[in-house]
Amino acid sequence: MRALLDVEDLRVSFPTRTGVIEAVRGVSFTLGRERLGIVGESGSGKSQTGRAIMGLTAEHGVIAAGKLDFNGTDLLKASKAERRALRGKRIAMVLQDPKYSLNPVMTIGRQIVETLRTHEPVGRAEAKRRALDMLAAVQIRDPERVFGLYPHEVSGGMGQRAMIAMMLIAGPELLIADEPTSALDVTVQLDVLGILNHLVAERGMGLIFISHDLRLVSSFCDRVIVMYAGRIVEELPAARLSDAQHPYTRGLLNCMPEIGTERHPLPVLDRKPEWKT
Amino acid sequence: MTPALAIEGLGVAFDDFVALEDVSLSVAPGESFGLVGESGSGKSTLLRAVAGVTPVSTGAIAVDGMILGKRRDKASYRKVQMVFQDPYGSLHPRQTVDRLLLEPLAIHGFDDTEGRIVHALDEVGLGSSFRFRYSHQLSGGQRQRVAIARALILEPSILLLDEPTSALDASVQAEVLNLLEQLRAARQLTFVMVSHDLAVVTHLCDRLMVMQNGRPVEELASADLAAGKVTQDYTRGLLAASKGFRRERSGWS
Repeated sequence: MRALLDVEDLRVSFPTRTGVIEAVRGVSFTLGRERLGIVGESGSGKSQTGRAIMGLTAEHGVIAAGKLDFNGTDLLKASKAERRALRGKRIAMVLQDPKYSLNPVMTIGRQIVETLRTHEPVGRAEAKRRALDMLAAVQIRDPERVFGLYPHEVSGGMGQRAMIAMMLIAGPELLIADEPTSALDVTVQLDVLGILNHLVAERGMGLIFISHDLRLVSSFCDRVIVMYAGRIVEELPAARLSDAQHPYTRGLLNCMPEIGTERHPLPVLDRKPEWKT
Repeated sequence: MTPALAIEGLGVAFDDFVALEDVSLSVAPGESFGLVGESGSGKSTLLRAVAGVTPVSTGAIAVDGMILGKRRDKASYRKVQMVFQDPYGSLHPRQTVDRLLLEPLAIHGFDDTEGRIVHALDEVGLGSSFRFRYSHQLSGGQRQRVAIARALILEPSILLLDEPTSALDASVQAEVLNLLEQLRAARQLTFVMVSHDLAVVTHLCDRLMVMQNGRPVEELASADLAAGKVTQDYTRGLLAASKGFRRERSGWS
């Protein structure tokens, strides 16, 4: 099977007044039509990896890679216009907090229709019908009503469903979800993950799920990449998370409190400088 | 024994919106009590009402047997201190750590401010090298330590913790949780902690109350929750949700 995404030696760095900050330092992986989890703590470069693939790295950031290939398209050589055509149409991204990622002065329906009509030549009525279908597909009970609401009028869970609807309406082949459920309540989190799981499986998309929550990622994805300080320290099948070898992964698993186990004090992570190399 | 914190029929309303209705609970001295619920369940409002930053509509709050009236005196504020969720928002961006810690001392007229600030920083594991830094020069975990130091510098008897670790990385969360436990043991503090994370609450608290829509659902011991001895469906749902995502769940369609 041909890989959907092929990343080789990806590097993202930001020149600053006090020197170059290397956010991502040589990340390589391939993605098929599967669910890949990227896990790491703040500053590990997980979000910058996703943004580099999406083409949303900040203007002054420098991207270098041996290979950054999306389904035959060389993303490194693609022009801005080509990247724009890909973005939203073939690669889509769901961000963490719907409060900030939705346009506050546009109704939810109009935003979804805008996405669709940017990428496909469809008429107004047709676009509206498809937007309503999509809202129904993300388990919104009353799509007609939600279509006309502004983002501040809906709950976090509803907003994130609308966001997913907007991202999936153009039928992307790759979905990058950057902490899609971190801003939501636990019970809502599961609903949103269920919807995401269902739609990704049904449409045969590739999914990159970026999160700080190792357990959540491993329960949701097929394969997990663990990042530390801009590098991949370990890659393993999600089902075999308990067999993790790297001390960082093990430490991360260990330091979380668990219901029903009494560990006082909790083991803390002893960061070794050699993990960075 | 007089409870450290006793709440009777507490209600909080903002105009027509009832945020909290008829909540009663009692926390013994040195105990650690957890409040669990989803957003909008009123758990933070309850903490804020105890801290005195949200006006109480009905009911009574008593700290160490003393009922807190509509107008509280300074001493009663000192006894109850709060640590907020977001360490990026709860520290003044243009004040040094030293200034941040001096402010509560000055308000409450403490002596030996110098010694107290040095001691407070030591106690939370920061050391005096952090004393003249600004909050933007600190990491999230370090900021939360400063927020804890600021709360403890007034020697309160009750510490109110509003999601103290939910903005932190897992490894930093473990460090802060350990610090809180150690401080509670050393100072015989009473904790009331709000969290949406059942694992964190059962780790730190002996008993907890589950809340929904501003009302208490159930009050139970952490051990019972861990053993699955719950009586309410809502609690059961929360417990199931905290176990993570399961593929077969998606069979809803």
